[in-house]
Amino acid sequence: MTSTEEPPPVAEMHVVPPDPEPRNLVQWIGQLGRIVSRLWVVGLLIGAAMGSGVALNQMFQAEARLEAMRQEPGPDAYAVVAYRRELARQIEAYRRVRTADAVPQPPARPRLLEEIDIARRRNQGVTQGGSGSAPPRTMPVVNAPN
Amino acid sequence: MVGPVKRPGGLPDIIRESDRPIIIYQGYPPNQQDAVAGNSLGLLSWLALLSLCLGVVGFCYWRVLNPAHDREQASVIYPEGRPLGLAKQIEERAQINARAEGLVAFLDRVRSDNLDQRRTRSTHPLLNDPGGIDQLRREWDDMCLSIREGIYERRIGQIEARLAELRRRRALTPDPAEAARLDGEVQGLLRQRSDEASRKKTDSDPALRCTPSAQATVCSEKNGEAWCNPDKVRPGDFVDKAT
Repeated sequence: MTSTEEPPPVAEMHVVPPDPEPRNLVQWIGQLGRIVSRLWVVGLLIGAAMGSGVALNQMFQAEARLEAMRQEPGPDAYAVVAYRRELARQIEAYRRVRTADAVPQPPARPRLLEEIDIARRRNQGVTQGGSGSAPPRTMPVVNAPN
Repeated sequence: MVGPVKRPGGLPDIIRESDRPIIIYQGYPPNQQDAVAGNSLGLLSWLALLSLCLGVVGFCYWRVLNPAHDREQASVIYPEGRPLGLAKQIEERAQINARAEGLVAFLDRVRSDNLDQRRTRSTHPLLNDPGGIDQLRREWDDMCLSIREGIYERRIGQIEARLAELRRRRALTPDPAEAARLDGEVQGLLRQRSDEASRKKTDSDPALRCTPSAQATVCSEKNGEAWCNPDKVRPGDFVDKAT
């Protein structure tokens, strides 16, 4: 210590003396740089948080959309689409096989497709056997017992 | 001009010459060390938070936009397997829904026309359009007949090759007994070839009879294929309607 006076109290010791020199340009630029870098860091964090929120939202929306699409059609209609795909796949696969030893067996038909097949076959029978013009639909006559 | 003397490593003259007390701390002043430690922790937590956010972003976008396919699972739409990304799964499902749309209504219309005994004008793209089930069934039946034809051709070809071999040996053999035996074999093979040609013509070999795809067996509850009981094979693909 260079002074012979009583040392100041502890609270006073931590008071930083005011800078007697004016801040120069370099200090100002440094200060500005610090502010900008802090803003950049905070902005980056906020941006990342927002981005993750958007990404989560997109993912949950996609899942919800898929879930909604899975309500229709039911398994019966889905099976007919899958049957069409299986037919196409078998045709493609057997085209590559040139030395088959046995004839292929067709894929089993889905139940809905069988109903459609029956209805269409019946319609063809109606067309070939019938007049083609539609008779009026009649209710069956039921006689009451005497 | 005499300015303040600067000593490297020393205190500035302005402080040295002031009347204020000069206190030199060993290490950090009181409470400053905590601030430094706090800054490090702040940086670490900032990095952790940023990594977490970026990880969440990456996970979500990968889950939605993943372009890969699972080859182990057959897809109704994609030949390369079921898509793993949600976006492609949605696309797949949208195509399935579009193809299957109105199938039950079509059946109802045909049945209604049958009741009215009139020719139906209803069609469904999944059945009637080019590339639909009707066309694929015709192609499948043609393919089966072609395979059957090929099997008969190979059988007859094998008999004819054997015949040629026997005839060559018959022409070369000087032994009458051997020649007679070879003649017998040739006659047998000629009969075989004739039988095979007859079977081919009349389609009389039950093992080589093609079942028309439109008359194939109907799926039962026990069938485990995706085109028979898709709800059993892939229960996750079907959601009960909200009531």
